Amino acid sequence: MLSGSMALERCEPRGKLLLLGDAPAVVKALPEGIGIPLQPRGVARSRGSGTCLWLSPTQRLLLLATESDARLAVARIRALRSPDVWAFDAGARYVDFAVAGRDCAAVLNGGCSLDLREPAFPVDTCARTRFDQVPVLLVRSSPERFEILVERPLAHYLWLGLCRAVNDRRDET
Amino acid sequence: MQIPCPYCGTRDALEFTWGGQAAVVRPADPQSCSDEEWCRYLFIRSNPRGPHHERWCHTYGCGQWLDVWRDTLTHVVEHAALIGVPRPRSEPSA
Amino acid sequence: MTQRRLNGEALIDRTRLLTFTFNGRRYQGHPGDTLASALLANGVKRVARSFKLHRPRGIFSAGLEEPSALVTVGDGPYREVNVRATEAPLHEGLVARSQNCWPTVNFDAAAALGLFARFLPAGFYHKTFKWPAWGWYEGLMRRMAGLGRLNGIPDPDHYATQYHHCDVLVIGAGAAGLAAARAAAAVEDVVLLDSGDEFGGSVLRHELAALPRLLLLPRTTAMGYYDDGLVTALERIDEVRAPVPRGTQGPRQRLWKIRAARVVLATGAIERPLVFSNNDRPGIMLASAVRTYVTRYAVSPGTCAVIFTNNDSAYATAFALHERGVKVAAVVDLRQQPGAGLAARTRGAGIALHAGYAVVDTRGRSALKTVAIARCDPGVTRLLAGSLQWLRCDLLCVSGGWDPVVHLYAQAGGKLRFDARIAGFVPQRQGHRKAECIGAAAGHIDPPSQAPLLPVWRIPAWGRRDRRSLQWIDLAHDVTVADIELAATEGFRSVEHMKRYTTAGMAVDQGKTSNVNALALLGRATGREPAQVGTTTFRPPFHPVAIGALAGGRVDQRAQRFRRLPLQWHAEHGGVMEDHGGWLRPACYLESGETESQAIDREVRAARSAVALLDSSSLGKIEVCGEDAAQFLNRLYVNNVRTLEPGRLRYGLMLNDNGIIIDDGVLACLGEGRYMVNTSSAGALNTHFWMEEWLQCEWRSMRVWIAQQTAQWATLTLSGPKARTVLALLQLPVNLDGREFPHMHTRETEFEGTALRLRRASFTGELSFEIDVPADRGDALWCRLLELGAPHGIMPIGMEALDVLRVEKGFLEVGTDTDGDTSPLDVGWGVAISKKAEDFIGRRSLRRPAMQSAARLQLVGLLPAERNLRLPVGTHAIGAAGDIDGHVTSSCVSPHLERSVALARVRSGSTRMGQNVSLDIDGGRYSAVIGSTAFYDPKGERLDA
Repeated sequence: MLSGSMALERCEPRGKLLLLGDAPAVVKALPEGIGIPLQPRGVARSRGSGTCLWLSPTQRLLLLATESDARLAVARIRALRSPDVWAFDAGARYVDFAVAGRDCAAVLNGGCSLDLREPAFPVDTCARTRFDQVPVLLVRSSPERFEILVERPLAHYLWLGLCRAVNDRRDET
Repeated sequence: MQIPCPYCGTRDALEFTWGGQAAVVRPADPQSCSDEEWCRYLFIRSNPRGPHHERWCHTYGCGQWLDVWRDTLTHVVEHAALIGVPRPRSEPSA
Repeated sequence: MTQRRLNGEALIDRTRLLTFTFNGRRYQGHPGDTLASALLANGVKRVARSFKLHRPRGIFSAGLEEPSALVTVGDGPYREVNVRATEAPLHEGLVARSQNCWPTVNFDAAAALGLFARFLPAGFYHKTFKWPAWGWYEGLMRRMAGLGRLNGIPDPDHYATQYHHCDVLVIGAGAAGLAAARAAAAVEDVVLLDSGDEFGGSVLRHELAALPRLLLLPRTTAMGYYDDGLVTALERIDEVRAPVPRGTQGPRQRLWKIRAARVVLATGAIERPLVFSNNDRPGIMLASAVRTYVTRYAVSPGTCAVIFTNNDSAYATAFALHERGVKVAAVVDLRQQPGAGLAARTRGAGIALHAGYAVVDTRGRSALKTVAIARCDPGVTRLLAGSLQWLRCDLLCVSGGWDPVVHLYAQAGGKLRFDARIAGFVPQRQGHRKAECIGAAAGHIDPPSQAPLLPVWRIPAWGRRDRRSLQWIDLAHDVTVADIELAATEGFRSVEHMKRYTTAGMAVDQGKTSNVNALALLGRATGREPAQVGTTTFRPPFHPVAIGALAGGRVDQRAQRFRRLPLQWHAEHGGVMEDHGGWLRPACYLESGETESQAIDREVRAARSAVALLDSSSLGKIEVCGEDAAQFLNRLYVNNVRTLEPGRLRYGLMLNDNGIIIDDGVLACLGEGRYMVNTSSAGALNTHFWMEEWLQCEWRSMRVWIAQQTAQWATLTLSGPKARTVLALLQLPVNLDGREFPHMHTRETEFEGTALRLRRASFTGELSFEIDVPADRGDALWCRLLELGAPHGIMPIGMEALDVLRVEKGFLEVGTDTDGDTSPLDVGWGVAISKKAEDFIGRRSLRRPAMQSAARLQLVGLLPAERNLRLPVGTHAIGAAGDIDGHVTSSCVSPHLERSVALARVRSGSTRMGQNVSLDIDGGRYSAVIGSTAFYDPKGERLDA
């Protein structure tokens, strides 16, 4: 959906891997070169593919190029049989949207109460929060672009809300 | 109202779920405790007008349970910490 | 009617004319006018009838504090009621009407009530309308007392919500607010909002708009201060409501939720009227409002004015009128010695100054014609005999001083004190937490007084008649001095009680011009100073807000947040989508020409005779892993999890520590330290939350990890005697033979490159396979199964059919057949529990005497004597003594048993097998026999059919 300088879109499916465990154990279980964020709200970008988002002290979400990458990674970690690291395919669990444009933060603030000014929410920060009544995972990928991950059952409801938030800023442009 | 989550930073209370009074001790062996002791654990809670020690879960954020010291009269959250992390001494005691 | 437009500068565009209608008559005004200024310019004085007594009322103020001039604006779906004429911007074609009058505002039948005013005192509702019943009077009262009528049509506009963060929020763009905002914007993020859109005029506004860290919000009114610097404010974006095609327009209003580190309240002050006899006639206005009409709109609300004041500020009104050529007959000042400079200037302008005088009465049936003035003693406690004289005038400008707008400050928890200097309430100290008042809001009224204000709360009446019931305090709710005094006499000393008893300050204006007068008069009647009486609590919203603005985007499709199944198929194939535990799920699938009950019947028969396909994707799927996972689940569930071997399933019942059932589900052991917990659909979130709470707060050393994977998987259930036949056609690498893969077992495999899980668990009593695939593959697998199963009579079924199937089997549903008082002992789990050695949550509570009572409600089956009567859920069983003996929790007419069956919770039910219960349905008595819950296939032979 396009409105003025704003673009709202549904992203292509990509691989997602839910990683459970304490940080050192998770690092050990992952192939070399894939980093994980250690700080809350952190985003770790690895060379090649792989962006890892901090979800909680013991949960991280690894975004990979394709769904088969994620399935392979699950199998690989499961084969280690470590009782301290658990990996789950979460590719179908989330649907990804992106909102881009000069007013992207204001559009998200149409339903999200977080302070999204750049000093408070810089590029490569992620946060679990809510948009209206929907739990979402926000990632700022550039000063003028956010990705919004939402669980599939509420994706339609969120989409309607995001479209509305874009439309509600018509008078501002 | 806002709660300063030790992980996520200060967030709206809308993101949290209230979990009642904190530090209620569950009898170590429920099967051997008296009806009275069990009743105290299940039902007896303080209901102060003023500072209160509660637990809240950051449901819409990191999903972590927190110890929160909140004034029930003013809604001022004086401190929030991870469960089991003692409150710093410099804070006035609740 | 005469045009009252004046010459000279004004903020209206005189070059353009706008035509509008009021009560069916056409008038003209200019861009920049409000409805009020345009009506005054056309000489329209009466615009409304009062709430209770239907007295004629005019325009009293020039702002949001207006108590009288409430009108209905617009037509059809755009009709809006209770609009303050002083706030409604004029636009071409505007249609406005008076409210609360019949047949017209000029001749109102109910105005006769005014003659009976003394029979309608405070509390008259409670005293008068007791017999025969309130309902007998309600219809009449609703028609007579009231405001505008709603149009009953859905609101066609839409409303936005916007969160915003800033360092400083400045409310009010008067001189103080502008200065504060400009200073702060140099170094911080600032929001400056104001109800108007001037911001100090066009030059300054332009300059402010260029400041990068300053956000200007015009036509925005702050509504409430909440904790931690959160202020809500309503922005009126589109003030002209007109039928524009939907989707082509932006929002009509926007509700801002602004979180500021610091809030600066430059909200100004509102003028307070004086209280005297017949002070409510059209033509009596606040002095500051008259000044606004003259200078801003170039309108004179009258041709000959009298000013009545107890302070300096009203003199400016006299001068403004005089300078624009409007006759000022007199200034009546309650003070014996007004400021010398003002007095000289007044007399110099040829205006009579009556110092030490009061306006004591007014006349004019439909609008003001004359006022009576009389000399009073210095304290204004009595009038001097023989001093009464009548002055002709059609405009009376009153000023009783100024009340700082401290609403948001008080909402922020700020304390107020009574300031004798202004005889009003001001912030107790500067810099309360995160909200600070500046300028007039802090009690600094400009310009400084030459002579102090004389606080007078009520002017004595002249003559022998007691006129207290004609001395209005609250114009909006027709509350008089007599009402306040009656409340005091009847013992309502607290200002909060007085407010509720008299309804003073409870109208749409919330007493912005009347509260301080009311509380001061209560103080006088009870021998207390205003400071001792105090104010009522200030609560949001400061100003009325449309419900639509509060709802924001949560309307239409987004009114309720439903979860959607991953499969799109259902709605496209006759699925009747309904709310089941927060999920939209198909109740049944309608084929052409079918009723819902026929469809359900067809689906139920297919499940027992061939094979049914059900979308169970909402089933909770929680992965519980780690070294201590088995021990953890063993503590959470009533059932023994330690003995659960990989590849096997076990039913699980979960209690809270009170011993009450909170969820059930199926536990699967997928491998060592790896479990999948299938919760009920509605319980997935709560169960996950429950697990985390125990893990994080109580059993912190346990090595357990939990993943909420419900949304990852689509779950399709094949159920019926042909289930295995159809599943085999998928050619999965799994041996489906009943001995290899028996009931309550699970298998993990792959299908077309993705993971697939199979479970043999059954909620229908038939041979069943639950199939999990990643959610985005659900649609494809569903269609494939329908295609493969077609020759075997496969049929998609919905929730209603599933309900019939499980009731026939007597399978309980948590939350339907159990409630907040149901223990596992009440549903027949006593023996199973006694076999478990370890403790589990809630076990201790099962030993409490109340849980062991023989008189508890226990789950049983009921066979009604009338075989075709479906018992309504909730039907009560009645005991011999007329006491409640239990109630029906689930019921259906079973197509397979060809009779009605029901599940019920009946007192001591388990010991009453074979006995009759008496049921009450709408007063009729019916009988049913208590029996086992397993109505159909009690031995469970069909599970392995």
